[in-house]
Amino acid sequence: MENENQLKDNTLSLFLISYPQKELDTNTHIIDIMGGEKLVPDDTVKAKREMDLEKLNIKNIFSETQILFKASRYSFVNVDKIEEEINNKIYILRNSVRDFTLLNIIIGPFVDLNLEETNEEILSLTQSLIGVFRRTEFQKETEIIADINQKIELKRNLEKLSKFYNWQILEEGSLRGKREDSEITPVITSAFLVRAQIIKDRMKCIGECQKIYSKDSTPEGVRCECGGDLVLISPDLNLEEISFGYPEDLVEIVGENNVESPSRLFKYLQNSEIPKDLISSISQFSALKLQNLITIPTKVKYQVKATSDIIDLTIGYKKQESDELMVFGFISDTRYNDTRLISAESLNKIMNAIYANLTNQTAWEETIKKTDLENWKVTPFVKIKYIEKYPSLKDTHAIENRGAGNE
Amino acid sequence: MSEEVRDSTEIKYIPKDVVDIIGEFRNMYSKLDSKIKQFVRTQPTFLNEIRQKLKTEIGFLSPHKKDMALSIYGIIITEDILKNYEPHFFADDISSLLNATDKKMSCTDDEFVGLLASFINILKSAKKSTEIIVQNFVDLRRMGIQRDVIETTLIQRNFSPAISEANLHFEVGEFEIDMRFLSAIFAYFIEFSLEQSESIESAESAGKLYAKIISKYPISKGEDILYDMINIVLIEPYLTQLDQSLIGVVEASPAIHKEEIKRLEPEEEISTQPAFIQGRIEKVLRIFQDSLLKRLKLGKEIDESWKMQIESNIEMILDWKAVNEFGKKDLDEQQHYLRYLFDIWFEVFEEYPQMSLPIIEIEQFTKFIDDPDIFMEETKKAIKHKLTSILQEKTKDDGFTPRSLAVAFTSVSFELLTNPEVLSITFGE
Repeated sequence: MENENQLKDNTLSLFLISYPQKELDTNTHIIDIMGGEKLVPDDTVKAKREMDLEKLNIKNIFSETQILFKASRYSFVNVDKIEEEINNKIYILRNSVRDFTLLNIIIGPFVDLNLEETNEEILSLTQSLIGVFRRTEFQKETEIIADINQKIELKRNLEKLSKFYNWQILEEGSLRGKREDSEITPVITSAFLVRAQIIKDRMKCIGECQKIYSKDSTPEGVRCECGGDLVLISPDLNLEEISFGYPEDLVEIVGENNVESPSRLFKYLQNSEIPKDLISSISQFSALKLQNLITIPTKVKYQVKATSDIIDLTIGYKKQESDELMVFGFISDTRYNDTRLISAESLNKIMNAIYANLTNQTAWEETIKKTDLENWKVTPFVKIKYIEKYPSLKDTHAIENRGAGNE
Repeated sequence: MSEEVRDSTEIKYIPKDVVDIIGEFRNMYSKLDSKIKQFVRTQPTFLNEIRQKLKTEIGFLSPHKKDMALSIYGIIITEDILKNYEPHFFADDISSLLNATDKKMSCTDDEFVGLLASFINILKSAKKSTEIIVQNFVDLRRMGIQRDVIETTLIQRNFSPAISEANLHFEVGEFEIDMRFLSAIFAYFIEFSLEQSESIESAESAGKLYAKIISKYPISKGEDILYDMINIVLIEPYLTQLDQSLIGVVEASPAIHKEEIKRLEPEEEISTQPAFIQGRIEKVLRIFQDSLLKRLKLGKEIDESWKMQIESNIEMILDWKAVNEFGKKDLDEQQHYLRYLFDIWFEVFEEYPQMSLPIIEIEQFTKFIDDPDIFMEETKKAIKHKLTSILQEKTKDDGFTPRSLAVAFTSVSFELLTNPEVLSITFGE
C-alpha cells in the first residue's frame, strides 16, 4: 500500500481533449489533471495549470498525416550527469477520430507502462467520449442543452474515465508490465544514428508573448520585453547530423514506391519529439524538477492510417562529448514480410550490441556490421537541415561524395 | 489472500464468440417455424386464452403473425426460458421490438420468425449476462474499490461487452436494432432482480422501459454510444438501488459466502444460483467436448478422473436445482431430480447429437442423421422414456437421488463415449 501511495503521489496524469465548435469555427479544449499532493497541491494550482494547458493547440500536437502517432515512451536525461538514472518516465498517447482528439501525458516513476494495451484503453476512452459528444451535440442542435452544458458533461465524463484509466495504471496495474507484442511481429527496415547537441539555460516568457530565449539572447533581469515573467525551462536537443543503415536489397524487398526517403525516415524521429510548448507547460509543475532534464524518446508507435499496420521506433542514446549525445535507433514495420529482413524479435540483442560497441560516430558502420545486420549498407552522415536534398537513401552516398550536403 | 478472491482484472463479462452466436441463431431459427406450427396444432386452448387476454395489446399484428407471436409466448413459458413472464409484458416487448428494428411492421413471415428467434436468444443471453454482472458488482464492492471506478468498470468491462453481444444476436439475423431497446431488456432484468429482493414493488416490461429510455436518451445507433447510454440508462437509475439490495451479500466475506454455498442455504443463494448452475452445466459440456476430442481425434482413453469430475458436477447441479426451485435439497418427490437430469442431458444432446445415437431406434436412424435437432424435438418424449428405463436399471434400489443419478448418468455417458457408433459420427463444424 505504501508503494501504491508513493506511486500515486509522484505521478502526474494529464488528459487533453479537443473538439470543433461548429458555430464559432474554433476548437474547444478540455483539460483534466490528476496528480499527487506535491504536484497538484490545491484546486487553485490545478485551475491555473489547466488554463496554461488550454492555450496549447492540442489538435496540432503530433499532427496527423497518413502515418498516425499513437504512443511513445520517453526517458529523462540529466544534462549535467548523463549517466545518472532518472526514475521518472514520460508517456504520451494520442488518438484522433475525425475532428475529436484525445491526448494523454503521464509522468511517473515506473518504466513498464504497456504501450500496446494502454493504447487500446485510449481508443476505448476516445470512443466513450465521442458517444457523450454525439449525444450532447444532438441535444444542442435540438436546443435541449447549451454549449456550456456540453463542455460540463464532457469534462465530468472525462474525469470519470480518466479516474478509471489512472486506477488501472497505478492501483490495478493491469496496463503495466507484460510484453508489448503487436499481433504481427514487425521486421527491421532501417536504422539511424543522430549526432545531437544539448541546449541548456533557456528562458521562457510566461506572459503575453510566450517567447523562448536562448542563453545568449536572454534580456537583462527577470522580465521579458513584453513585461511578462521569465522562467527557466527544460534544456533541449538540437539534432545536427544523421546516418542511416538499411538492407542492401531494400528496394527489391519493399518495392521502389515504398522505399522511404531520408527526410521521411527522419520525420519518424522528429514527429516523436515532445513539442516545446507542451514540454514548457509541463515544466510549470515545478515539483517534477524538469529544469535540468531533456526528454529522449525510447519507444514510439505509429499506425499506418490506411492499413492499421504498426511502425515502431526503438531508440537508445549514448554520451559522446560534454554537450553531445549520440541517439541511435531502429525502425520496424509490420507492412513487410520477407525472409531477407530481420525480425524485430532480435532488436534487444542488436540494441545491446550497439550500446556496448558504439564509441564514437565513426564506429557506427563497423558497429552495425558486428550485429545480425552485417549485410546492411550505412550512409554517410548528412546535415539534417539539408536532408530534403536527398530523394533516396542511395542518393546520400553519391551526393555526399560530391559534397552537396555541406554548407 | 484467500483463493476465493478474484483479481479485479478477472471481474469482467466475457462475451460469446460470434461463431457461437451464429450457431445459436441458426439453431433457433431452424427449429422455430416447426415449433410454432406444433404449438398452434397442439395448444389451441392456450392460444385462445392468451389471444383473448391480449386482444388490444397485439391488435396491430396481422392474424397470422399474431398466432406466431402468441405461440412464441407459449414456447417461452412452457420451455421455461423466462419464468413469470406476464402476457402483457410480452405484448409490450413484441410491439417495442418491431419499433426498434429497421423492419418495423413491414417484415415478411420469414423475417418475423428470424426476429423472434433473435428475441428469444437475447432474452436468454441478457438474463444470464445480468446475473453475471450483478455477481461481478458484488465482487467489486467486496474489494473496496471506489464507487466511480466500480461504475466505470461495470460499464466498460461488463455492460458494454454484454450489450455488444446482445446486438450481435440481432446482427446475425441481419436486423439492425435500436441500441436503446437492448438496454431496455437489461433494465428489465435489473428491475426483475430488484423486484425479487423486494427493493421495488414490481418491474416494468422491457417495452415500457424502452419508451422511457427513448425520452431520456436521443441516439439509437453506434457502438460509441455504449458508455454514455449505459451510464445514463442503467448505472444512474439503478446502481444505488442495486447496491442497497445487495448489502447483505456484499458484507458476507467471500469465505463465509462459499461456506454458505456448501450448506445450500436458500436465502443467500437465490441471487447467484442460476449463473452458478449454468456455469456447472457449461463445465460438464466442456468436459464432454474434451472427451469427444480426445476420443475422436486422438483415440485416447477416458480415465477415472473424468468420471469423478462428471459425477461430482452432476450431483451438485441436481442439488442446486432442487434448492433453486423448492428451497431445500432432499426432495421427497424424486421425479424432480429426473426432470433436472433430462434438462442437462438434452443440452448435451443439443451440442453433441451423436451422444444420443445408441438410444434411438435403428429404423429412425436416417431421419436422425438428416436433422438431429428436429428429430430430437419430435422424439423427446420417447427418448426420455428410454433413458428412464436405463436409469432405473442402473440405479436399482437406490431410487432417483442426486448421487445415484449422477453415478448412473456418468456410467451411461461413459458407455456412449466408448460406443463405436458415437465415435464414428461428427456433426456441424
